[in-house]
Amino acid sequence: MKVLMIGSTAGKLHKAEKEIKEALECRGHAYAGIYRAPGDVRNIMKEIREYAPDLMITEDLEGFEMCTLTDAVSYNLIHCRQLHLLLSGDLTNERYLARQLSLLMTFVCPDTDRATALKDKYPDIPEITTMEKMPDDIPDEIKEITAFVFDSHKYA
Amino acid sequence: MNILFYDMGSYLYDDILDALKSMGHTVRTAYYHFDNRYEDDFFVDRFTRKLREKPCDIIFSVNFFPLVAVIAHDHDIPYVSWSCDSPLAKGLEDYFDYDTNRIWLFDRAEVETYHKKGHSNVLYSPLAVNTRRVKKVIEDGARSGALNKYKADVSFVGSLYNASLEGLIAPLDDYLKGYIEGIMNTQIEFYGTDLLSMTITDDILDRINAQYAALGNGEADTLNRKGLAFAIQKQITYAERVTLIDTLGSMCDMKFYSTKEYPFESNVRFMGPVKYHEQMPLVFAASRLNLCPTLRSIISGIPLRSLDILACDGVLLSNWQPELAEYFTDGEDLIMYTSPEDAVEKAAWYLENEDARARIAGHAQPVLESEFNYAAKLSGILSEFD
Repeated sequence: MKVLMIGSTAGKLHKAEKEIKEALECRGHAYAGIYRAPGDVRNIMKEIREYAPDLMITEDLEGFEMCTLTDAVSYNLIHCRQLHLLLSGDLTNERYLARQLSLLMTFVCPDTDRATALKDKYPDIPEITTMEKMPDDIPDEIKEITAFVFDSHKYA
Repeated sequence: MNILFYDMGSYLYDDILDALKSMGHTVRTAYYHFDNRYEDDFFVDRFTRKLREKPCDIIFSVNFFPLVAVIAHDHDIPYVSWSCDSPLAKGLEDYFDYDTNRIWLFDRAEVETYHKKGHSNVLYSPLAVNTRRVKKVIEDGARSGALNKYKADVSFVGSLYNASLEGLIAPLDDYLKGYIEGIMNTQIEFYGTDLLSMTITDDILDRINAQYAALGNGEADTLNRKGLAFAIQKQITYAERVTLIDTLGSMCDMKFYSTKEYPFESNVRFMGPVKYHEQMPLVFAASRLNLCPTLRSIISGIPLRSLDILACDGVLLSNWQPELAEYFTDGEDLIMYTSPEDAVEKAAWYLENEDARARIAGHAQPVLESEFNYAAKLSGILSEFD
């Protein structure tokens, strides 16, 4: 499986990149990461399309500000399973949760309270959950990768 | 009513959502971008789950989606689609016959074609436009000064529909090439009439496909009437748009807004793409004329872009189109031409006669308010289910 991680260089995930990469490759997956410095808003859609991931994992809505000509979130056009980890309490791009979001997206929160609060605030979010309650239709392989990424983040 | 609104990123989404909510409906939304509209297990599973989560009286979408039709039929829920594209893709017709479908199209001629084939659940409704939204964008643009940036004598926003016909006819013999060029040149002269469906005969299609087969092309390359007609219609659109933009570029300040640059010979200014909601209204409001030659596969209907221009008090320069002529008055609400030469002549005249041009700007508003507002159109479309 080709896994693409997208985050900020200031994020904790970036700090754990080496461990994540090794762990994924150990399990036979291919890994790529795109990390932008804070304030860097370069469009990374071309890079994402070129990599053509099977699974895309983002941290704290990194890249959600990239929009199409109809103001839709550009990630909607990426046809792969997407897990968006909402780890920080303060999300710069939170307003994009009010936009149209693809059924391919699952948003993962650290705890149920946060997930419930966001679901109440943005009722059209396709799927928002916690790591422990990931939907049944998400393959175990994806859950395993996400759990690892999540734990890496926690301890990074 | 409880409405589940599926969408794949259409221009109309926000305006329809606002209108449905303001009409008192409870609307849930689901977005998904298909790679394959005919087969997608993930979508079927997720959309079905979404459908079952809460009560749903109707599924609604902009444009018709076969898998949504299947799911709606399986759950015995009415599926109402309203298309802003024309024509519909050929394969979609196989999914029309579910009794749960209500398929609304904006091109009356296309609806009549489907009625002749027995599809009685294909219905006609022109598109709509949200004049209040665009006016606010223009007011804000005027206040901030952003409007000035879009000033031009003539602007065109859209695609040129770079043609694929050449590739299709390249392997054919001279007779077929000549025949196709002949019917194309005839169709070019006529707006609002579909000559292609009459002149692309079964015999011609058989000959084309026999020649493809002789070249060893598989069944996937078999050409049908709709496919060939659409290729010709795009070719005509392309030729007309390029000619008009190029000619106007040699006469005045002509701006071309599109995702792809084109090597025009004259001084056409390529401006890149514009954002539909934030920038396009400013282009239409700030341009003295807005060129909008209809994609020629739309036989009688009013394209969304024409309504967008009129809603912005923009002066629309369009080909003669039956439904435009039915609702609006040429020379008062808009400017219609009957040939490229006529278009150039009229553009030159209105650019020289500012008072006449200014009288047209905004004149269509009462018709837009009464005939093309979302709430009224959606009330009509959903009236069966009240």
